[in-house]
Amino acid sequence: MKRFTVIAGLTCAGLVVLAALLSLVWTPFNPRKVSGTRYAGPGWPHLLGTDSLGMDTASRLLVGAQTTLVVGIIAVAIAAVIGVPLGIYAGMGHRLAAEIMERASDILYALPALLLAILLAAARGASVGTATAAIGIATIPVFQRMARAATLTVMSQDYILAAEMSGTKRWVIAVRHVLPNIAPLLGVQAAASFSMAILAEAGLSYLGLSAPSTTPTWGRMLRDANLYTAPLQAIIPGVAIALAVMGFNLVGDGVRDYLDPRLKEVR
Amino acid sequence: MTAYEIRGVSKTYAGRRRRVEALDNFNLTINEHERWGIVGESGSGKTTLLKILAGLIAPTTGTVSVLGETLDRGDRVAMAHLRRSVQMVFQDPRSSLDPRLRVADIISEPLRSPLAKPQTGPVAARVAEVLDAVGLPEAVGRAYPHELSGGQRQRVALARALAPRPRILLADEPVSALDVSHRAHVLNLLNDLVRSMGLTLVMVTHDLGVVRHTCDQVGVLRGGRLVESGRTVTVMTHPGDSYTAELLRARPHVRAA
Repeated sequence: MKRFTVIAGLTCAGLVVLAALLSLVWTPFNPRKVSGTRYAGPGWPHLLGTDSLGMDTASRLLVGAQTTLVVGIIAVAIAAVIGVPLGIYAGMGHRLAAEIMERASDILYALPALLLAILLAAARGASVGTATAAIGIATIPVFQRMARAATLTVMSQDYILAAEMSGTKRWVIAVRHVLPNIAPLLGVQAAASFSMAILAEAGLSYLGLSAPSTTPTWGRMLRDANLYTAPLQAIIPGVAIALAVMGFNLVGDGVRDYLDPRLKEVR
Repeated sequence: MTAYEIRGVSKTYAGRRRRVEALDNFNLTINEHERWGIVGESGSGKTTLLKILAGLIAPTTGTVSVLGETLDRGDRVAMAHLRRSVQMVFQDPRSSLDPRLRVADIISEPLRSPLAKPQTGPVAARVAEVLDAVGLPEAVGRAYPHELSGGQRQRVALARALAPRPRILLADEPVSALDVSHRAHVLNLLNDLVRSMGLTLVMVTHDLGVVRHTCDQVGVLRGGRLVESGRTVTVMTHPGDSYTAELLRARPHVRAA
């Protein structure tokens, strides 16, 4: 069963990656230009039909996968690169630092990605960049808190005391003992946050707070679709978002198992 | 030479609602090459004492000298002196060995530390040497801890403690987490190595049988106070304190049917 879910996850995520890679070299039509009649049904030459302006849906879907992946990767990278070291530092016994970070996290939690995106869009103009930054910044406390909680668990283990008794420096303990032991949890969190970032970007695009109308993104495609006239134009990007979210979540579970040698023993 | 000079050591853990006095005016002198067993029931302050001796926590009051140097957690030189001379074997090898490191990396950690004594040979050779000393083949170095039995894991923990050639070995109930079949093996091994290497041993345990088997000196802790100390044979046969006598009576005995 476990194997099946990992394969299913890899298949879904792999399709998204494949679509993004394929769109770098080939798309059936120019995804930014009108190539047919409005709301044309699926058929030849428009395999998935056309949208409200007559642009090829299949081409926009393929190019939209690029945006989805880039937003997910950069947003998670921003959150993890800032949140994980802060969480480990706070978890390794620096009480004042932990207290300050907790309060800072509370403030960030109070500012959801949507509000941050509105703020950044107001300051810098709505773009994929501002949406990605907003999602990344809003996800920092998630990584910081998870890293701190996981670090506290690791720090209670005797092998940390043994390392201290050996005279191992604190930063070496963090890199050699703490980080590898919390990595499986962070891997799962990264996959979950990746999925959430995809969803958040789709939401922000839908609200017009991300890519401009010329840039094909799945959220934008949902926004431009008319559910009554051509429901398929809403269903296609919706299904793509759902598959991507599910796929990366399942891959996250697989990553956890792969990174933890204790779980290999069970398999 | 005196290994440990412990004078007036107390340790209080202060929570928000209550204070726990784990150690109360503890005094003891431990000479080099002696093998001490500190016995007492759960909550008597055994582990707190060991952590203070290991420099992992500071006493609330009192002083501890290690091999003539006063222990001060804020003094880098004093702590470096302690780290070079003292190693510890923990109670549960599942918790004391990092599950993500291979055995060779675990054992070599104290050898790669900036405080490590200069090695006469390569680190890998020393790892093989201590693995051999604890009766494990060199191939075990490539294994992860979860691939070993409980007894093998505790041997690895012992090998790690011995790798940097310490003068003092602290042991926190080193066999209590092992199943019976491994206990005697590990205890005999500990006994042999401590004697052959001329180490000073300070072992805390609640098991009087383990103390009788391994230690030539014993101290009895009750409620954070040392109620009795002396040669193991003497204390075991003629206990001077009623609590010691009570502990001796509480030992399980096998009666013929």
